[in-house]
Amino acid sequence: MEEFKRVMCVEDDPDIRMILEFSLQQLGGYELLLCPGGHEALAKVDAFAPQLVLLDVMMPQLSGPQTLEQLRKKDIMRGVPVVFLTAKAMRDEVEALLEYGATGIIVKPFDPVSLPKDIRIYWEHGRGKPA
Amino acid sequence: MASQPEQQSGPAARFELIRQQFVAGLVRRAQEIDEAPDAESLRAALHRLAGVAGSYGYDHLGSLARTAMQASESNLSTQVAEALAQLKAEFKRIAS
Repeated sequence: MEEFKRVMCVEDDPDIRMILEFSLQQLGGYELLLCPGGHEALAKVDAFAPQLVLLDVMMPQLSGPQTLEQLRKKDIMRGVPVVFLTAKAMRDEVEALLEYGATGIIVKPFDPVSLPKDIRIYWEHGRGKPA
Repeated sequence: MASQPEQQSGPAARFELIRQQFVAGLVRRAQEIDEAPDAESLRAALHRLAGVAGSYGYDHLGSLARTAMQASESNLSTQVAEALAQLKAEFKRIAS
């Protein structure tokens, strides 16, 4: 069975990148690629070949949905679950985000202790499925 | 029982280190909120704070930021001013 190891996180806030590193790398033991923006993610995704992407919604330059649209054009992203990170959790906003083709939503602030388990559930349910 | 060096390099010690970095960065966040040139910049700064504070254990700070952001979205200027005053007091309390 495929082992779930590589997670790419795209997040512009350095404090959130720091807690993501603590949560997913130190506590969860994942191999992590942290990108401060969509352009960096698009440049590095082929070499890293993530098994799951955590994507912030509100970012300068390329937003989360715009980044997702570009990521989905890449072969390496076929069947890779993408989960949005957002501080907005109103029902209509969540539904709109899922319509972009995301597997799920994680609401910020997240619990760094439970996040490694939460993303594993998204990976188990979302991997291999077409966006 | 873990030895002292092991305890110092474990997850708890690492979390304490990044928590301190987060707290040190609150001065910049407070300034960003204070000096926001317009309502949109203010809401963006509050949105970022609301989205991160709880992950570092500062739930009340995050909740105050969210309250101020929602008041600003609804153009409730008195409530915005009240929420920002409370937020400022919370910044001060955390820094002390």
